[in-house]
Parts: sequence; structure tokens; C-alpha cells
Amino acid sequence: MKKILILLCALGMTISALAEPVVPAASEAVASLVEGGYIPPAATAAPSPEMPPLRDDPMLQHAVEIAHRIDMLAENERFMQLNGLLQDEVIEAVSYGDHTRPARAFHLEGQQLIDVMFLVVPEEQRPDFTRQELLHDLVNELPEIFWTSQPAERMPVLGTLARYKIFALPGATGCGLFVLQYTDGAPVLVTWYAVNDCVNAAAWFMPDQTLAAAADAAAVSAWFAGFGLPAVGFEEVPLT
Amino acid sequence: MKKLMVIALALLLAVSGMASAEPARRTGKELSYARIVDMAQCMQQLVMGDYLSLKQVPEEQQRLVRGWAAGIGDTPRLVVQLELEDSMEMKLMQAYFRLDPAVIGMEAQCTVALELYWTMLYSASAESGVTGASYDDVMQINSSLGAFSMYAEEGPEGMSMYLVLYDNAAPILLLVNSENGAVGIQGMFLPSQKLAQCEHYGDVAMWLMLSGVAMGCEEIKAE
Repeated sequence: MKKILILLCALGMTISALAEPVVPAASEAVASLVEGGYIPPAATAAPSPEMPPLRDDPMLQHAVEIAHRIDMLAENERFMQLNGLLQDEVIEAVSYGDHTRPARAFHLEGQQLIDVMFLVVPEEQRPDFTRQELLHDLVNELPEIFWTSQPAERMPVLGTLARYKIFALPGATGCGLFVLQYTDGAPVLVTWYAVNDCVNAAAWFMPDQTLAAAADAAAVSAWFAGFGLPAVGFEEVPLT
Repeated sequence: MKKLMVIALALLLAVSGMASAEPARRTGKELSYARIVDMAQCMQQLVMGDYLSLKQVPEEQQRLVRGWAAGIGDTPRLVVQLELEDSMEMKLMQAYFRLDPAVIGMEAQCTVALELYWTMLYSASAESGVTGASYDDVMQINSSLGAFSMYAEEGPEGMSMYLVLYDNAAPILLLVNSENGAVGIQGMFLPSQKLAQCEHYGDVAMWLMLSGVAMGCEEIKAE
């Protein structure tokens, strides 16, 4: 299952669709998405008039957008059914709350994240493409570390609601991890890395009460270290 | 077997008919030949280095995939673009639901592409006994490898698929998604002897058909 989850995030598609080879007919899939009211996220991401616009930071804006996207998928009953997920209470436990806009955002800077993930050999010894793959593992394997704290019955839902997006961002380098907190909503983690003037960002729900209640960056860092990972220093990111 | 061939041909004709009734409209990025070859060579670099050891892939699976990747440095014998938009799944969707996939977005295309990938993987693994690989081997190796590359280039958004065949390497499937001015390429091995032996894109179309994948394909030649 662990290996399957890795491939799923890599493909950026429904994790359950890959984990379970029994995929419904594509025509059924498409019909379900449409009849269920799925609307491409770009068409719905307009901020409400009361909300001040997000800070002009493409990384932050894309992180918020993809977090909103997985919330929309969670709320689409037909999409969840398509992926064989009928347990409403589990879906609700994973994705509770409104994820249109985070209340607070925290960010972990790249080198600290690399120190966590590049466990064996110094990354400067890596050939170029292997280095890219190790960075790619950030989006594939980091969720598995944090999901160890989650009940087993949530895993299919968590996997299904993991999504990635790619976007061009000239000059972008490095990698990072956003923790997005929502008012009365499940936190969302967004990992990103940049190569070749492009960014790959992956979002997944992290319905952890300790993380949801973390009052500041130090508390988020403490939550992170609680998984047996090296000590790191998250920083709060202004949203506007 | 003869009956199967007749059914396959009938299906092929049916699909050809559907395709000719309405010209295929491709979605997604069209990769250059050079990009395709480069991605395959990146996969070889991963396989031949210590990446799989880092990922704790079992020694036996490492041995298998090194065999699959050994000949990737050679010029591909055949590169074929699979026309996702022209697949039976998309045709059915259009015929029965009269929907434009561009309206539905990437999720639907991903669903279709994944279904086709799984079908091809099943078919390849059914033959992979000759290479000593089980279905689980093929799936786990591709999962562990997770070869993914991206670069910035504007173009139509959506998904596309390619098959790359070599004389001395396992066939490679590339899944390509294009969005927001970026192109992402995912590479996977399909260690099918029958697919590997295809000489012409028509052979590939027949392999796909016999595998249960009804979609058009077109040869991509070196620039």
C-alpha cells in the first residue's frame, strides 16, 4: 500500500484510483464529475468581496488554490463515490470545514526540509535527475510520515484527496512546506519543489487536532518534531 | 484466438469509423522526439544509479528493472503518441454524454488516462512471466521509481500519452500533463514482450486493442 501511495502522488491523480485497479468506466467517471457539479477550481477561486486579496506571492496563491481544490473534491459526492468512498462520516472527519481561504499559514523553508528527507547521502553528490527525484519524494513520501497518526479507516479518503499541480514560475528554486490553518477546518499541508522554472505543489488534508490548534510557528514546529523528525523552524506567512 | 482476432478487428474498424467521422482533436502537450528520448534516458539514469537502493527496492526487483533499462541509451526503434482524445473512453463520453472534455477539466482526463494505464499494465504484466516479473513487481518498481520530470513551456492544457519502444529495453509509457505553462512527464515501464516486438505503429494499435485499449496512435519521428 505504501508503494502504491507513492505512485499516486507522483501521478497527481486520485490515489485510490491507482491503489484500486478496479476503476469505473471513464464514461461513468466523466458523467459523475459533471452531474455531481464539479467545476474546475479556476472558475470558482474568485475571492469573496469581504476578503482582502491574498498577498502577491504565486507560491502562496497556488498553495491556497490547490487546498481549495481538494476541499471541492471532498464535497463532491459523485467524485467520492466514483472512487469507492461512501462513508460520509470519514470524509467529513478528514475534510471538515470551509477551505476557501486559510486563516493562517506557516512555512518551512527548503533546506530544513531537505535535511529531513535527504537522509542518506549529501544531495550535492547526486546526479541532476536523481536530485530531482529526491525532491519529488517530498510530495510523495512526506504525507506517509504524518498520516501515521491517522486512523486506518481514513487512509483511502486521505489518499483520494491528495492532489498536485504544476505551474511555471521563472526563477523559482528550492522547496518548502506550507501548513494552512482554517477557521474550524481541517488543516491542509502543501509541499512544493521547483526545478527547471516550474513548481510541483501537492496538497493533502491533515486532520490533526494538535496542528489545528497550534497557536504559533513554534507550536507547528513542535508538532512536526513530534513525528520523530529533526527539529525545524516554521515561520508564519502573512496572507495579505 | 481466431475469434478474438475477428472481434478485435471489428472493434478496430468501429473505432476507426468513429475516428474518421469526427477528426481527432488532441488535448495536452505534444512532446518533441528529443524530449521523449531525454525522459527515457533520465529513467535509465535513475535505474542504473543508487536511487532504487535508497528507496529500499528489493535486490531482485532492482535486477529486473536494470535489465529493462539496459538498452535505453540506444535510439528508440519506435515512438508512438497515443491519442487520448481519440480513445474509446473519450469517444463514449462524447457520444453518450455529448460533453467536451475541456469543459470538465483535468480530473476527467486523468481518470481516463489512469484507466488506460491500468489496462495496459495488466496486459503487460500478464506477459511479463517471460521476464521473470510478476504484476506486483511491475507495479512496485514503477511506484518506487516514480520517474517525473517537468519543464516550462506554454501549450494546450491537458494530458497526452506516449509509448517508446527499444530493441534492447522494456517499452516505456510516458504520461504527460500540461497546465499553467508547465509540462510534467511521468515515466513507467511496461515490460511486455509483445509490445516490445512491435515494428510499426499499427502493431502497437493492435497490441492496445488486444489489451482492451481502444485508441488511435501515431508514430513520432526524430526531428
